[in-house]
Amino acid sequence: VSERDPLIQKLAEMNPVPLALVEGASTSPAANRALADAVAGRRVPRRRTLTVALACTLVGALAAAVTFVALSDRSPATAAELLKEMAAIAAAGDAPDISGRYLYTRTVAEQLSTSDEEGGAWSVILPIVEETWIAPDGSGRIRSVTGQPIFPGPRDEDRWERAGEPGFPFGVADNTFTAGMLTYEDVSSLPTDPSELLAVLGAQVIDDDPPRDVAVFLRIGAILGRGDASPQLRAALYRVASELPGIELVGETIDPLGRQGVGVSMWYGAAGANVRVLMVFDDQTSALLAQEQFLLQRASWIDAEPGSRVSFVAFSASQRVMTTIDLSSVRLSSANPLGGVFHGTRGR
Amino acid sequence: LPKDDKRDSFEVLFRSTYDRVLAYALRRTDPSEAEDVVAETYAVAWRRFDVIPPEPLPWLYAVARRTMANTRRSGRRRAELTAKLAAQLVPSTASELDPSEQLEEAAIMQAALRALKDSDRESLMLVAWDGLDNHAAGLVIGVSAAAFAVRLHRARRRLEAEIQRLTPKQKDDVGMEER
Repeated sequence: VSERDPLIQKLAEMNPVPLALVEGASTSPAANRALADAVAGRRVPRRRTLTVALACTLVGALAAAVTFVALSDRSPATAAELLKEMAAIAAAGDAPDISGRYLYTRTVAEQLSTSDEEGGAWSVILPIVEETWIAPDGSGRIRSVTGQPIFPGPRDEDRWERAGEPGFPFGVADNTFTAGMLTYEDVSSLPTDPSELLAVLGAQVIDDDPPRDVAVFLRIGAILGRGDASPQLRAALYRVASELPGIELVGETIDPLGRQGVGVSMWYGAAGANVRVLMVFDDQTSALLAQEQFLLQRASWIDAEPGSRVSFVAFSASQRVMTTIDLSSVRLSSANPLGGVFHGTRGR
Repeated sequence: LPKDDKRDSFEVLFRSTYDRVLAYALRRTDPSEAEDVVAETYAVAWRRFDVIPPEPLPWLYAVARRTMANTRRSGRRRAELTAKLAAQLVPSTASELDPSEQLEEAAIMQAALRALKDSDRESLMLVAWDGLDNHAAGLVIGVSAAAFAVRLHRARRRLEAEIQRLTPKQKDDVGMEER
């Protein structure tokens, strides 16, 4: 296999830890400690967190867990201020393009699903990239690529085995839907007055799991994530969020796709264990980048360490389009994704 | 070597290789464990300083690799570790593809990598991520350059097959064949 092997080259481009990321680590406090321990012949102690200096140089999911440990206890007022700033940025933004027939969105997610079996509850995480095209008449297309299931811990896998190893979706699913088969939510009808909006969102909460404030917080995330709300609605959503009791500022953080943002979180009790919901915003544009959930305590329904992320959805694309034609296939004609070779333009 | 000379030489080795050994560990495990693995690797390096070859990286990687294998046996499941690895698998360099498309590519690549056996995945990572040639990669896993080349070839073929299996069929694929 030569260095120019396109497959190896493609894999190399996806290196999760390029050297640039660890540059200078050899003189970090952690390195100095390792050097001193080594020459003193000291047994290496188990350390559970990275030094801050190193953590700052890491990207994406790698950093998410570390950043999370450093969550601040700053007052909710600060989170409220951040969200009010977001509201101001959102209000000054451009109106979304509504020319296309379909709302196209793409998300990258790790979905948590929990099953309550007689032998004990277990959880599994499914990585999934999903594209949806939905028209106001409820027609459209949903295409998803699902990866291998991830068991958070050995107990989950054992219980899954005891439950008879039920299968999970895997690979590509691509379905088109005729009018009425999908539900198109018309967000343009939502009120843009914050207190009216809160009343509407609150009324949509069906039960108490998660609690109402958290459910509203999640609803706000779902609407912002679609990317087609008007500037006035976006601003109102941020104002509603800024008034929710229990919001906490997380500060600068990095979303699961490695994008820099600022985070606001809330926590709630989920079947005996607390879970933290984190929303990551782009503080320049006010766009919602991702929604993540972290387990805060050991739980009976998932075998994961406290502090670990148990699910996320990252919003990676949203636009209006005229057809449900595969956007990526159009681009594939000019760039073969796995060969990395330029093949000329379409229609040549 | 006198003690001070040994310490100075070791520090030169340490400072000139630490970044790479850390990167090697971070590519294979989570950050908190990676730091421990690297510290343990250099603790071994100090004790065995007299046997470290002039080209120390493959030797250090091999020690880190064994350290990680021991840690894994003592607790965590492979699935958890490869999951972490895959979660990190986001394109890190600029490409002609737009970000969302890169992500789908990454999703396919991560699923394909996950489906491989550990040994296949390691062969590919040593070359693509750690930047080793066949000789150095062979030293890390304890085989000759020729034997490593064979392993890499097989691993590459299996990765390609997994990617093909996972990649959605596009109308344009047909168009490209017609050209």
